[in-house]
Amino acid sequence: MSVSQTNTDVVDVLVIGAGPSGAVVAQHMATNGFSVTCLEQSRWFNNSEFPGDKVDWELLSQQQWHHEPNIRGFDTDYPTATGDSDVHPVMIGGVGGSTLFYGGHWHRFLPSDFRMHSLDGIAEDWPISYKDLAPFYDKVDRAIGVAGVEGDPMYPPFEVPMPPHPIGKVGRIAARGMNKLGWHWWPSANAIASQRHGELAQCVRWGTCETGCPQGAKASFDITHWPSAIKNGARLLTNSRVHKITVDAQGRADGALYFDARGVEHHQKARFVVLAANGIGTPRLLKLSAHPGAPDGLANSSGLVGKRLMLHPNAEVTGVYDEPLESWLGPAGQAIHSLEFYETDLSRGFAGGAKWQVMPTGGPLRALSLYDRDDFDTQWGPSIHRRMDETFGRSLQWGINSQDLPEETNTVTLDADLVDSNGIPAPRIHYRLSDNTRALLRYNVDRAVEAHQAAGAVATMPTDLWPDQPGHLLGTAKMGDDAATSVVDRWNISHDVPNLAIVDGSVMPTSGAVNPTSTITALALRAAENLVATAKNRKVAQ
Amino acid sequence: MSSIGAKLDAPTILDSARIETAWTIADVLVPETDDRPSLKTADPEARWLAVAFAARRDSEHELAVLLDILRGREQSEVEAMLRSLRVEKRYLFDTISSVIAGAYYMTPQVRALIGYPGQEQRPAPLELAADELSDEIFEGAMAYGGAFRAPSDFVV
Repeated sequence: MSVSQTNTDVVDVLVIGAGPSGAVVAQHMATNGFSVTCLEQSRWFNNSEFPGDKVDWELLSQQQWHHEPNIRGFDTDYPTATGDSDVHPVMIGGVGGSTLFYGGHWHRFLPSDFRMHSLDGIAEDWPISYKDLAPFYDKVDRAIGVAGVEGDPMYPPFEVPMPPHPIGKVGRIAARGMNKLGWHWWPSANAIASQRHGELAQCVRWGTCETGCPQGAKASFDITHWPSAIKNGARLLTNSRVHKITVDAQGRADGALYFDARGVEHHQKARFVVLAANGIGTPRLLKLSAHPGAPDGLANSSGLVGKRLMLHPNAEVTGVYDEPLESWLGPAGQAIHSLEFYETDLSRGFAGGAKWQVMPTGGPLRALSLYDRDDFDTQWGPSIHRRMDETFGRSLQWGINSQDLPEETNTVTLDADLVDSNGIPAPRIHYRLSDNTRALLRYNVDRAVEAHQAAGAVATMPTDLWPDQPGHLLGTAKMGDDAATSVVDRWNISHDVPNLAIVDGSVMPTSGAVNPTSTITALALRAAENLVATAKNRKVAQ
Repeated sequence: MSSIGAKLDAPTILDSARIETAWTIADVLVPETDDRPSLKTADPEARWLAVAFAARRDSEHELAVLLDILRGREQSEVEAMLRSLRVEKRYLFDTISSVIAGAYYMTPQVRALIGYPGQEQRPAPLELAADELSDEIFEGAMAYGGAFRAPSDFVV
């Protein structure tokens, strides 16, 4: 091995990726006395950088702060080859990872999400149940100060630690329609501080959560977990891009090779490696880490690394109402949600379901974009002023987050040509919507139109598929009890490499249809607590 | 008033000729009507136009070329070229139209006319969320008769 610089310190735990799950593991391990180093390819972001409190925020969000890395073009992100994909994955590298840009929609999985095969004969059951994960959901909820209302009938009972945000005029109008139809809705839980909480400021409703919170009120994990992790001794190296997990003579992970900001290569040695790069970065790195004993990629004896990619394809229906709704007002965030069509009902002609959420619709340019598919004279010229009068501040969106089933044909591989700013092969995404997903989306779009009509909408504008939403990157390193049919065990430990844990969204056997960060971080905390409890008996690199 | 995010200290592609061209484009896309001003009227010093162009520095070369192609042309000719651009080079049309419309809707005069306060801090009063959920609307949610599906091994 030829590297420019080797750090001679061998740390107990090397965490790769400073996103939410890496933050949770680093904080827990450091707090319990382990030496922890985290390598993060990108940097810290300061709240003041984000565009949401700037007068030109909508224009800045179109490119410079776009959620798609290929459009944003930061050197600190890796590009993705998406020519074979119906959906373009969105994400951002940085301390806090994609929680910098998420909407903070905070949902735990439903009990049925862990038992899809048992209940419906489809896909696989998880090796763990809702009950196994519930205590960790509770702990993470308290740590980040989830705001909401207890008692949602579509969930088992659980505590919500912070008071809710207002659901606003948009939430009340949408709820009116749902009540008329007798459909489920509930004031949504958000990982956004309704009051000061720890390092989090109180939300001031900029309404721009998905381009970063200028206030520091959204529970991105650079705010909620990293300060505490560092205070407890964790070392976080930014601008440090890992391109290979290294192994010892026994095939155990013993560290990682990475490039620093100057392009100098280093080798960080470790006794235990935790991979937290999410559903695209993780399979990319495992494939980059192939070695003679694992020619198809590290931890890949099952052949499933990079397969079963699930992205939760999104649709939406915007409704226009004949009354002012202040529909630029945050948080965004979700006002209310519905799980009416969440649980599988095979009589609908498809498996799986969807979670809906009401969100505000933003500023003037967003209102104008609702007419992008109309002709020139409908959108521009003298008509523009009538369009704005009719639409701006008078619309709300039912977003539809759909469940997609795990399919081995939806993959993350290494692209033969595209590379990142360090010359490392970029991930190639091959993702096609199945007939099941298309039927699911079509059904839910039709129902969302009905929901708007029941609420009194004067017009509805459906988007059948949002090609660049959401940032839910799941399934490419499946969890399971059988090493032949899964990548990690029920404690997130690689079946092949006993001192390698994978703690991100890639481990999910099925995707559910709710936003996954709650489940990802609960799984990560569960894995970290298990590592602490079993550390003495664990096989590590020598 | 919110701050400006775009870097305005760097050189801009806008000179007086390009500003005139941008105003002509605005007269096509967001024209003056009985109840709305032109961009030139709402932004006579081209301040918001400069902010909008600076926010899309990623496309400044393409935008400068486009402005120069349209320079000095009659409004009817500019309109015809914009209509063609929307069909043939949608990305470039979307960029120039959002910059022009973005400038227009940043001007204080237009914002007042459409009832938009712009970005502002509005922390919610503590009682607001509870007040919103204290009437018959929330009763509908609490009266919902459905429930989650419990697998056979589920226990609370």
